[in-house]
Amino acid sequence: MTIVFWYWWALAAVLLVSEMMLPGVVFLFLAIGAAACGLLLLVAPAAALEFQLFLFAIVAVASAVLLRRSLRRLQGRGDEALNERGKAMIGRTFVLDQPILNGRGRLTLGDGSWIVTGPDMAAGARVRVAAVEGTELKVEPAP
Amino acid sequence: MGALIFVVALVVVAVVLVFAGVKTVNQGFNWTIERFGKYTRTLAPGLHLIVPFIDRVGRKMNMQENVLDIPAQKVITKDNATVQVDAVAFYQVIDAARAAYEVQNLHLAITNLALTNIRSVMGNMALDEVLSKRNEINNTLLAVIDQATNPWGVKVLRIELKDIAPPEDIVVAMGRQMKAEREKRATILEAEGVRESSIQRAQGEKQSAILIAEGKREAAFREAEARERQAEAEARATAVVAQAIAGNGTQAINYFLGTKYVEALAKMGASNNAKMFFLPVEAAGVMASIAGIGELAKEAQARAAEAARPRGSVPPSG
Repeated sequence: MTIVFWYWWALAAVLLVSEMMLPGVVFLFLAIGAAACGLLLLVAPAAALEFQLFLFAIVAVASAVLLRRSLRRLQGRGDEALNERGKAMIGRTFVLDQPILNGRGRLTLGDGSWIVTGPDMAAGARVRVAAVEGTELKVEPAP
Repeated sequence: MGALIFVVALVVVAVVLVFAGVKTVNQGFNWTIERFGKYTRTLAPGLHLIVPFIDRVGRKMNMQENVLDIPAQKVITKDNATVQVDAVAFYQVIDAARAAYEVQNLHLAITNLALTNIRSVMGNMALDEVLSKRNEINNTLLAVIDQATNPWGVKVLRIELKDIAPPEDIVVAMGRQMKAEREKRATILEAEGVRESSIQRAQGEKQSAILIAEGKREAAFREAEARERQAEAEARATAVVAQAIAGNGTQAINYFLGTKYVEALAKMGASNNAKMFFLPVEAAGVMASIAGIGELAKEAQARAAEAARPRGSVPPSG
């Protein structure tokens, strides 16, 4: 039985379907490898089976490494603050209800109260959230 | 043949590599990555590539807000009442790594933290406070528990006491107390009403008594005045009579006495139950006085004639 390029492309199609059906972006790269093998057979129908399999393995891994960046760009930025309660606070200005002493204090925001870190300030000072570290908000004096 | 076996093995390795290296984290989750068992980084939602064989996915942390039911427990308040309390807590993992490695069983830890803190906060309050200051209790609990869960990278967003159930007999007693208070208020209001109305009535009576007395006083004044006037009138009449007597002598007196006698006789005659009556011994005197009247009339006639003569006019008639 000789392997023609259709076989590889059929495998690529099956892998693409698996990609759609199953969670995770894994089969996509295998499908790319299979498609590359089909392309090779189309160009050089006499290529050895060993070479085809080798190419499949190399292309699959290489595509995963190389395509990562462009795929990441494809997924876009979306809503960065989704599921990140702290990130939604960045850039906003609040009034301290408790002073910051020794670099730490508390700030009541909405329902909860957050630990704030930053330069020492008296209660009532206006602060801007500069960054979020875990459950702590880094603040700086607001202009 | 050897080459084929190697290539097949290579394919297997490639497939495993792709499977182990490509990781897709779904929105709402954060995955921790362990390199040789040690935590190295956290994967945010999206497509990621990790180094196969070295890196391994550790924990898959759910970053969504989570609801935690705090089971009912008995709490003894400051005034020794036992109440049954349950609550609900909302928390969210903020730092996946710390939530994964700093605490063993997050759910159990937060639940127990909440249970003990509810006990300590409510144990410091009297039953009435516990029932009326829910918001305060919630805020205190939130502050304490949030602080305690901070090292775990967990933010407790909200704690709400769901149900506070005092024992049955206390509920009954509270109901009775409430009823008694209302009844007390009603009784006081009623008594005040009675007081007010009796005051009003007494005032009315006082007013009317004063008015009556004033009326009597006024009437007495007027009566006295009337009597004074009558006395004056009598005095004047007497004076006039005295003048008349001074002028005409006994005949004038006889005129008065005569008219009175006749009047008295007429009254005696008019009485319907006694047709027999006694005349005084001096009845003859009455007749004399009547005769006196005649004398008086004659005298008056003579005087009038005398008065008319000097003018020479028509002689006076009868």
